Amino acid sequence: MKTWINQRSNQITVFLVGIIIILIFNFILPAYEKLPYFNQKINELSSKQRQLQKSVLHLPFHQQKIKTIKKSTLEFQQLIDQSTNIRHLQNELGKLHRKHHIKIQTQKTDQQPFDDILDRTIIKMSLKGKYNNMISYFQDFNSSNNLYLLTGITIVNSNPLKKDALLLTNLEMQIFYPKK
Amino acid sequence: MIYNPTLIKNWSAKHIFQKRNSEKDMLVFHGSGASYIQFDPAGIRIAEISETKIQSLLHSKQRPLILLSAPYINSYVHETIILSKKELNLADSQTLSFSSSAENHRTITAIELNDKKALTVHSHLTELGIQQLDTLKKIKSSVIWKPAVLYFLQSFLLVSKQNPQWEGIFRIFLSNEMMEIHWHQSYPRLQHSFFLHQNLHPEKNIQHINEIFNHKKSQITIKSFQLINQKIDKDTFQYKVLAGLQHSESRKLKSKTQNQLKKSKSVKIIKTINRNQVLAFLLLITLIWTAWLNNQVSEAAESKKILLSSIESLKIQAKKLDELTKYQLEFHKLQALKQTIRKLQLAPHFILNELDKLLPKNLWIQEISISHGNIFFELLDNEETELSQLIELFNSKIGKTNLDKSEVTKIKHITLKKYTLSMSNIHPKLIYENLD
Repeated sequence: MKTWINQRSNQITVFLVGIIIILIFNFILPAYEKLPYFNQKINELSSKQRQLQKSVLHLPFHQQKIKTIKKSTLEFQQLIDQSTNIRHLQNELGKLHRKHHIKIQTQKTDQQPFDDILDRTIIKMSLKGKYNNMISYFQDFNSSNNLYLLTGITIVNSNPLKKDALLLTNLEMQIFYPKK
Repeated sequence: MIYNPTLIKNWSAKHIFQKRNSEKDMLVFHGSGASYIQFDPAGIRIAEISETKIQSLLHSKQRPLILLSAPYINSYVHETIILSKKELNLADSQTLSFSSSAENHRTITAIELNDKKALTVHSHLTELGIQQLDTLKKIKSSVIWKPAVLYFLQSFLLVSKQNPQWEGIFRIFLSNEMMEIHWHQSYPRLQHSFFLHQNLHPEKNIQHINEIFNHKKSQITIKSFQLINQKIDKDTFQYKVLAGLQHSESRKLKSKTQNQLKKSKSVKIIKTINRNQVLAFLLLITLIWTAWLNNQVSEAAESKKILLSSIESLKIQAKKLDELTKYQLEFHKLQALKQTIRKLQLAPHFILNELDKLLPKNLWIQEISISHGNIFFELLDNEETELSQLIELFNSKIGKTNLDKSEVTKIKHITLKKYTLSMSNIHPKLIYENLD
């Protein structure tokens, strides 16, 4: 054994075999373990990248859409703000009443929650006016851009024997808006 | 080892050794011992050498050249015509038919003198020689060796060619072997070459030579020679001339070797080298493989890194899409709210207009209450109107109508009939402002 070890060629053989084993166990086998992981990861990432690229490709269109939506939302929000502002509400209704020669008798507003996402303002009004004025008032009321929801109407003829009678109208309307 | 300096006139042994091999020292195995020939600036040192010293010499950086002589190897030199390899083999088996050595233990070297003549040296390893080589290879696998006679013959021919003026006799005496070359009138003449086997006494060796070659005519007298560490009386021995060769001036020395022993030795060396060569080749492949794999792994890691950074950058851009979703959701909520309000918006003017159309002149509305799904109203009648037809008309045009109450009332002293009606399942077009 000693003689075998002393021989230079055998020493070289042992040295070469040693290096080959070290290379196989320290570099080749770990590399073969790493490669499938990397390939799988690269495939996943590539697929994700493709999805994102597709989304990003339409980004200019989306950005334009965001602008439009933002604008519409802002307008809507302004409408809500106006509708929930009692002073503004009275101004608007006052304009409408004056326009159709209707007199307001009483008005009562009450704010209360509706559900988890919406709040509401209930407005009860008593109006006085003639039939034709009242009809045009209703037409105008519905065509105007507002958030009032007419939920109940009671009309009483105060002069049942007259042809152009004066009508007493009780209106109940509600304004719905998202919770803040 | 013996040489006779008095017979060598114009050049020395140092000269011949150095011409042949200026760098390597030599280890000559002959007889029962070994001699170490060492070159140094002062001259040539020749000494008997022990086995331990042999080991250290073989392990040294400058490994000595091994020269084998009898009894380790049996050599015979003779003049031949130019022969092919096959012919050399045939000549070898004919010339030394007594030899029992295997073919791979034979070396045949033909030194071409001119296009017609050559000197052929036959060397056959003996059992002792094979054992000795195996022993040496155990110490050092790559042992370089040569038959001693061949080495000295080649040295002599080379040097004599370079010194054409030289005349005299060159003798090589080893413990059991001798070669003698005469140099006459500028021409070298190989006088004889023979082997003396393992006979211990010189006289026995001479007898043995005569038995083998049986050349009786030409005889020479050896006047003096010297063995290493041993002096022998110069008048004791006589040797016979076994072969002679006249060289012409124009002869060119060429070496043509058919070396079977070398071949077999080569096979052994190749076997040893092959193992390491194969391993070195495998190592090279492994290294290339490792480099390739490492390259693959680092490329994959780099790709992953690039993809990750690309995804990060895309994600930042895609965040704007999340913003869009957020705004869209908010907008849709508001839009839905607005649409719901629009859909549920009561339109009292529709139902009032419809009632106005349907009611006869003698009937008018006293009071009306409109809510989602139901209408209650009171009619005043100043005549006896048949209500069933009217209710049917209401049923078909507006919705399911019931007469809840019919009574007589007085308003400002005028007697009127008062009907209380209720409507359900109102046609949506008559009660809601906006319908899809």
